[in-house]
Amino acid sequence: MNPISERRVETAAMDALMVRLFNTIDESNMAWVIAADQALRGAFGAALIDLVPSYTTLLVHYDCQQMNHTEALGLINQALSGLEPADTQAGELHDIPVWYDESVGPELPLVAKRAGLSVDELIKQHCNHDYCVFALGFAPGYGFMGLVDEAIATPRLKTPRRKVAAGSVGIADRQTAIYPLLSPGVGTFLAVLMCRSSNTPSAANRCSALATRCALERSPARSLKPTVGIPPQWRSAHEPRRHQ
Amino acid sequence: MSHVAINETQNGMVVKQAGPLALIQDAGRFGVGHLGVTQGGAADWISFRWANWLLGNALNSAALEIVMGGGLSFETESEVRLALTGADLDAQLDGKPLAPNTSFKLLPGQRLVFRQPRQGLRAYLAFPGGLNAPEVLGSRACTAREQLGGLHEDGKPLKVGDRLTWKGAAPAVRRIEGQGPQMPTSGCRLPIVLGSQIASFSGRTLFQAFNQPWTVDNRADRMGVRLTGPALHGSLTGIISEGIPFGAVQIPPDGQPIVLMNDRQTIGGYPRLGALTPIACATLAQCLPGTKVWLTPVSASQAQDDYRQQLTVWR
Repeated sequence: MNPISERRVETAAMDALMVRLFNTIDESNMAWVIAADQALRGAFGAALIDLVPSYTTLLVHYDCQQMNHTEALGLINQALSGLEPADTQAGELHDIPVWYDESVGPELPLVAKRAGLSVDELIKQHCNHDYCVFALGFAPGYGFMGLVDEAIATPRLKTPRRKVAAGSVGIADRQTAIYPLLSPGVGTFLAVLMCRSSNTPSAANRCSALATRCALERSPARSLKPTVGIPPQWRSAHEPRRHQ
Repeated sequence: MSHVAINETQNGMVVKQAGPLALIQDAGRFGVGHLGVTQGGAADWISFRWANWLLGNALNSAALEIVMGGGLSFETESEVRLALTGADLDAQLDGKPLAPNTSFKLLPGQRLVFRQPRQGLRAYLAFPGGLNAPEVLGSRACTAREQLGGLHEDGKPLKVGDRLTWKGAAPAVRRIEGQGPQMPTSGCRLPIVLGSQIASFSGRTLFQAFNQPWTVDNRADRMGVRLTGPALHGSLTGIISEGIPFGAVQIPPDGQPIVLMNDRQTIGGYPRLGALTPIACATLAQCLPGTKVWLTPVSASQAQDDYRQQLTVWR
């Protein structure tokens, strides 16, 4: 199926339209979502206020001082007609060292027991895997990644944990994520992310493009300090849109 | 850089007592939603713009958003003209009430105090040329959850001893002729553009949504405002997470709508009726808990006409 010909564009707000390409989550969606993201950014140019892609959709927030709703809809249809899927393999693959240990990932034994695995086998299953970044949201640089093997999928916590340390790595259903900031969370926690402090970009930066894929690799070195949060590059190098 | 040095030697205004919540805000952070960074910005953007307009500032200049008041007080080191708009927080200058929606002079030795809300919830205090604060991702807006913005770049509210400085020296002195910012009264209408998952809600639910008043709950902050009333139900309990527009009215499983405001998460998975217009969001940002509001459907094109009309008042 070509999702572009099956797309639906819905009103989402006074000055926002939702482009709906798929009905289910799948890694193969991303080639189309990335291509649509690029095409829409190009088409709207300075009239684009924000564009938020997700698993199956793209939310287009346009400047209604430059065009009306009908014109925005026309521009979306024009930008997406004849779209070809992007080459997702061309995206960056990041190796992210992760320290799996009960002291930082208190649910390791529980998740292992649930899956009928030893803790070591669980760690192998979780980290011997390239993950696709489906969406960024919830917190700056928080990447929704997946999919973990069916065998180690773990239900979300019914009551979110009030505080999850920055750098924590968790599983929620078949997705896995790295918490870039101290925040509440519903995942079960296996590990803490480890990045070398100076020359390695932080987790948030690693996941700053949808084309990114992440390979988690087991790191034994507990002396490494997690460097997470808003990457300094975002503060200085980024040139966001100026509003008015 | 020479302008930084000038700012550092300039006189400032010092927080003598901290209230519950005073944040540096501007129009917000745009063009970064795809990174998961929230919009932020002044919740009642209309009053915020009026405050800057009164001083002849660029309308997006950083100002203070003061919630509730609660004893927040300042003293200045040098004479400064400030503009105050939005909620009536029983602001006093050396014990004398300040007229709302005007600019006024604050002299060294005088104390400016914000006491408690009498009408509305959020007051805006603008400074000559706008407040100085580090710009992060194109904005000085504070978001506590993301630890972005503010004097100390941690997104936190003002605290005792914080020293505010501003960019300009000789602001204009303007007066509002005609209608300035209006604080909402109970029974006010909040225009909503329908869309998103509206088709998944039953006819009965939609009738209830738009034909009876909703009560603004006390579970309300810059992220979202919960409305209480009869439970609304649709055929969807959750959806695949997708981008959330400003003002989105989402219906979680308990059927009580949540209006997602400036500091909302960028993506989320509850079905939505549509989104309040930006003007309605500004109104809702001033509603105290217990206020009755009506959701009033409006077309996107009508909402845009009203929005453009609103923008003309500052030209």
